[in-house]
Amino acid sequence: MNKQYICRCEEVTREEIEYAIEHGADTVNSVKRRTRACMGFCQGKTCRREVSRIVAEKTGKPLSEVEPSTFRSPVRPMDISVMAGDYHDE
Amino acid sequence: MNKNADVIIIGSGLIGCSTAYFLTKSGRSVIVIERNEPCCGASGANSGILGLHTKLPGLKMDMAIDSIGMYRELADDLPIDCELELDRGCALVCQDEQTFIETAEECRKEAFSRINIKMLKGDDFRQIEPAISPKIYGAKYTPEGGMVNAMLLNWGLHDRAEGLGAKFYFHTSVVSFIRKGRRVMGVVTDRGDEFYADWVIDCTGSWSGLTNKLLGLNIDVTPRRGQTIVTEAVGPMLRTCLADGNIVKRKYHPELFEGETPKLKRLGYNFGGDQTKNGNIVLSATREFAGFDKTNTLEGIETVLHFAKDIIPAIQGMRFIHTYAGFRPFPPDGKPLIGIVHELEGYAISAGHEGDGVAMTPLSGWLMLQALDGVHHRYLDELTPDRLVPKGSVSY
Repeated sequence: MNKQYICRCEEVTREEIEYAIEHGADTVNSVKRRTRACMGFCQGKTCRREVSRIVAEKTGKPLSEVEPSTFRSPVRPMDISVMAGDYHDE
Repeated sequence: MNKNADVIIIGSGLIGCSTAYFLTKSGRSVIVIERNEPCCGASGANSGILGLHTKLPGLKMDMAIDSIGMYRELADDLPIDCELELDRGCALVCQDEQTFIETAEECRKEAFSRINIKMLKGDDFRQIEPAISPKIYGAKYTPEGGMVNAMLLNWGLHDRAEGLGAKFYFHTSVVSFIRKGRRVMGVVTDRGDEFYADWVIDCTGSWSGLTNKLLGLNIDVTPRRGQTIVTEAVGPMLRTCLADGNIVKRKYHPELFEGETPKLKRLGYNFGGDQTKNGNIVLSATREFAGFDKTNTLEGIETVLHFAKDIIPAIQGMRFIHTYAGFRPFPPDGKPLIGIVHELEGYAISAGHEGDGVAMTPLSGWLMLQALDGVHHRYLDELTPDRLVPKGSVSY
């Protein structure tokens, strides 16, 4: 039986996501924290919607009620050298 | 009145779940009521460092040593691998000679003999931590201490407690307490449910001030925001868990920083750096009062990176992929609150661990078990919430 990888960055399978949901993780945020899905380099750009779909499917919530995981800066990977040099004292 | 459980715990973060774990294991029936889900407070926004290097001798160091000493046994009993590492080593970075000398002076105190520490000059320290800037004068280093994945620990404690019979209600808030005179009988939730128990325990961390206000208690635990940055995953680069020597000074002697710029004072910058098992480097953090605003700010991110690059120059060749912010529960007098509130009956608190919650997770749960069993412990004397509840201050 092949494993179905949902989060390619962190190599998280559908099975792991479903296990998390069965053990109380009923939001995308909690699935993320339990499994690392959406925590990789692309920060969920690729798999966020599929994770939401699985949460909807397993919890019986309509997809429209499954909140996306928290959005945080940066929108895409950003050079630290750019930010680190911008500090100004007041 | 029939009770629903022996104990109701409010809050399912690390402290709530650790308390649930120890009380459930002791044979008590436990209900945990959580307004959101695990890891939503400080439990999901920390650095996961279990460090002794930032503690000054005294109560906090004693508790940290004891609590970290309980970690292995606790982690081994959980169904989730929380990636506990106890041999990472920790280092307090001393940027200049002055800080190095002062830190070395502090270490001569007898209490430091409880842990294996040594002062290392720059070149010696760079043998252990090659990524450290050549401009760093030295460090206080201990091979002890390490880190844990706090989110997996939180969920692991939840799973274990639930497996032993604890009932968790997520996305459910406590809106009021049910009281009969001094006796706290139970709680009412926002779903209109009433739960009754022999004990109600507040484990709501940064929200503890609000929770306790519902009972007429004036315990001013406030959120202290920390902003943290996560880099892309890289090969092994940092061996130890790092902190800036100024952290200790800033925490214990804020008056020494009166002269610093208004911006830095406001942000309360507090460097921490470590590399996770997955290869991401976690750079922390600010230490600001910003109410319950959990957003990251441009100035917060810039400031953390600006100072972090002076300690780990190589990060300037890396990218960051994520930032987060969380609240450290800041207690009014610098000590956590753990124990029974004797002005009431059937009520206890375990909150206000500011910055020490992860390290204190095992000990906090265990101490609450001692308190409910009526077993004396000197830590309970020190941390009793009674110290903040003047006699006669609660109206019945």
